[in-house]
Amino acid sequence: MIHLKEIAVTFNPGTALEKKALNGLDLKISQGEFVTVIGGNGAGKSTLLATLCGEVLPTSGQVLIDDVDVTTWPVWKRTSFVARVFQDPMVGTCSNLSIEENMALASRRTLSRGLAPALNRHDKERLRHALSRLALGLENRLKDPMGSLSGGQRQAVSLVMSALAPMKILALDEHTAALDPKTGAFIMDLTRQIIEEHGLTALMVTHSMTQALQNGTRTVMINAGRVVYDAKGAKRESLTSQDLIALFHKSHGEADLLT
Amino acid sequence: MNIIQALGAAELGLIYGIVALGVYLSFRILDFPDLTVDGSFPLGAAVAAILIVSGCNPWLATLAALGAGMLAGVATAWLTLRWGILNLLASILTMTALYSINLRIMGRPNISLLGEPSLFSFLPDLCAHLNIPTYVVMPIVMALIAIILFLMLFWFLSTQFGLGIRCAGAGARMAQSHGVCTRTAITTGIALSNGLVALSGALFAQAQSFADVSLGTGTIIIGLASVIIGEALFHTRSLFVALLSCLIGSVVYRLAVALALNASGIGLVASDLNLVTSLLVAVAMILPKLREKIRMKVTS
Ligand SMILES: Nc1ncnc2c1ncn2[C@@H]1O[C@H](COP(=O)(O)OP(=O)(O)OP(=O)(O)O)[C@@H](O)[C@H]1O
Ligand SMILES: [Mg+2]
Repeated sequence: MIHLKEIAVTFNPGTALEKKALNGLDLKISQGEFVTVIGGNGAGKSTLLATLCGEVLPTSGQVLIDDVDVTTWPVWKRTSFVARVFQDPMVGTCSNLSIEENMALASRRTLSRGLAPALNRHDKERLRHALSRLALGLENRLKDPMGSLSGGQRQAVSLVMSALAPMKILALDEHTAALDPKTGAFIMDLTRQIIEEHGLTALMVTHSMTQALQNGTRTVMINAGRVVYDAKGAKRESLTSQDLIALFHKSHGEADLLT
Repeated sequence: MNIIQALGAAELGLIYGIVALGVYLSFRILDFPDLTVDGSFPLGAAVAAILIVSGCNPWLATLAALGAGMLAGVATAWLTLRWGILNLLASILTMTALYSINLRIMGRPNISLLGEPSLFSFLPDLCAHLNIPTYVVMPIVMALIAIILFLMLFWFLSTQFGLGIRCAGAGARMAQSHGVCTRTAITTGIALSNGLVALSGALFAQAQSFADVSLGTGTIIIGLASVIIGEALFHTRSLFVALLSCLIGSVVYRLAVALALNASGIGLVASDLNLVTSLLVAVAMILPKLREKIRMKVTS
């Protein structure tokens, strides 16, 4: 399904600021897997998602989705495969446009954009319905500017927006990190529902070891731009967050020795 | 100020209202400070004028002006999006190049269109027939043109494609992550913006019966002033009202200028206009910041 093949990403090559964010990372994800990604700050998790979504062009290596080499595809073209929820709801939604306009834009992610009206009555009903599952009362505020919503509400809407158009892969970068525990748990539930409903392949970056183990079918730890630990099935079942933290310190220690 | 002067000011305001629509599209919707307009306004005038004196149909000449303006916009967008040149600088490059290009197009610094056919050639006969003076009908015709263009722009920005453009301007990463090719969207937007400005230049040349290479100086500031006046008059979140307020802002601006120039007590002459307009725009931009500063002082 997804194959990130020997990916290397170097920022600012040849300058004093040169930074190897990914260092020969290799990751194969099969159809329907829900992978949680953990690792320390600066480990390369966001760069990994950015490479998958096309925001970062790898210095070497290939990105294959469904056996199609998409390495050089621009972001907008890859959206036919991948939907993304950003960590920052300000990035994932547009303050100046109304809620319904944001949603109308998202609902055509995989379709062409022509000269038909962006919003017709049929669309509005569909968008209202999609919003109502959040139970935040936002379905009555479709005309309000997105900027008038709180960060948590915006993140909830951006998750709904990602599911308005068909997709194969859902990429989530710490999408609950900015939320209070209650909203965070609610968004996490919704995320699970969406992934199950659509039978998606998903990648979710998180800093919470518990969240990483409670959700998904596989957990991958990244350090210094490489996969340092990979667990699924029975091996993962028996794992506790304590184990993960121990592994985390171990890999960190090794990385420190190396550099 | 007498009625003829007021109607003349309104007519000019409506012509420049189309510039304001273009400026609103680049500055406000696309967040792209585009100075190309200082070159695309005289470009439109030049293309229309030279084609008309060479015997071309005025409608075709006006359409050609629109196309030329769009090309100028594409040039600026290409410099920015393809080569990563800072948008402001890219637009200054195109604007500067257009000065030479406009001279080449016209072959001389100015062209008179007196006695030449124009989009408005039918007016004198019509006015004589209806027994209404031309200076009354001209602003009405211009208002019709401006309103049609405003409605077309509003319609376009409300389409699926137009929504993509609005989003590309407000948040490029978000737009891309929802499948909008931001390069196409921004290029189209900037092309459309400059097309409108050049069209306005072509209308100006035909209404005033001349084209001149130096017509463009200050176009961007006049456009911005109109946008800002419009925003001050109508605080709105509605795109429809915001676009309409550009036209109204431009007319108000021209009427205010005409008033100021005609009030003998102030002693302003036409050449002071650029200074006054720049001051107006600067003050309008400083005021919100001052207000914020004062509010912060008060709360702390
Ligand atoms: N655009 C960029 N330019 C230069 N360096 C970058 C850029 N983006 C990321 N980096 C560097 O690449 C490394 C990996 O960054 P990345 O954002 O992938 O980390 P992360 O695992 O997501 O960390 P966090 O948990 O803090 O979000 C970091 O050292 C970072 O400083
Ligand atoms: Mg990150």
